[in-house]
Amino acid sequence: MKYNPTAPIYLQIIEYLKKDIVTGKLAAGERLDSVRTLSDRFEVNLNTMQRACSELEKQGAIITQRGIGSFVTDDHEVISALQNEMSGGLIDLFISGMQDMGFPEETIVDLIRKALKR
Amino acid sequence: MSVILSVKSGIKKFGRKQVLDGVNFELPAGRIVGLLGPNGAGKTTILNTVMGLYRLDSGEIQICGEAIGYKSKRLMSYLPDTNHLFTWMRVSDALHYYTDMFPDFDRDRATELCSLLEIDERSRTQSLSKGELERVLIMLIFSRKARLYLLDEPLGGIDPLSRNKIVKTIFSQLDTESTILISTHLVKDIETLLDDVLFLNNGKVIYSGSADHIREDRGQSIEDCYMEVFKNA
Repeated sequence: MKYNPTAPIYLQIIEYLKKDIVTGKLAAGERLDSVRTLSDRFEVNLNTMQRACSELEKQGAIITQRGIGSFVTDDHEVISALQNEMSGGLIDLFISGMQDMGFPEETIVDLIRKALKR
Repeated sequence: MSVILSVKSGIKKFGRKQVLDGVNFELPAGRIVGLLGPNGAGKTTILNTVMGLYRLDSGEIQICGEAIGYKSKRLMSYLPDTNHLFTWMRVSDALHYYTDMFPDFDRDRATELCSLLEIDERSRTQSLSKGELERVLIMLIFSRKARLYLLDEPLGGIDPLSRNKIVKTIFSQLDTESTILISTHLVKDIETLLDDVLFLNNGKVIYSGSADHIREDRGQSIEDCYMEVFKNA
């Protein structure tokens, strides 16, 4: 995995895992690998992985059961909230980019419609 | 968190040359720390004094609360920036040697690392390429169960594939008990590896902080931060 060196790595891992949860690559209720296995996979150090996991836990995306392991939340409200959050971010980025280039609202909507039809 | 290594106002002169000019830092347990600085900043001197190869002119060094001495050496596993193995050795001889020398040397771990790093135990150390030799040395020092690992330029002159393997080995070694101190000037290669950084210039620590702090609060990569700090130094 390639990381952006100017942003904290644990945040980039969080984004990545969230995407997996939203797209269902990590199914609701699925068991996560251990932190050590994950840190091997993401090629980051254990502290970074630990931090990413505890942050995800704080946000409710994963649930850790002591002595058993970590699981993706099976609360569909949380997952759809994640979905909204991620799509919101993308849309904000897109809109602000378009507005910076001076496109008025209607044109942006038209352009999206056209692009979707393609 | 317990402190693994503390250096207090370390001063060292070689002749008239001031090499360490009041070095202060502390390393907590369970961290990977980069000791970064240009050539001649004093990185190797710090590692050598911590190892007890040099003695400080003044100042104090403690490893897990122990002063430098035979007790402290048991706690440390050191990778010098030169090949410290005898030239007649095969890898298997080096393994015997380490097993005899260090009670904390884990032979099973060594076998595991040999296969991970693709080391042939029968090969002669003298006929190894630079990258292969470096992998052997990495294998040897990480087969010990030490509290403090000191790596002096572990990645200089190593091809990207070997580098990747070495970096992975370094990752897999870390637990909450031990700390790894890596000296290098190749900042970019170990960016994602580090928890904390110490920037060293002219024998002084001019910046210390956590890697995430640099990325989060300054919005910089470690390399950018390094450039900025050293430009102003």
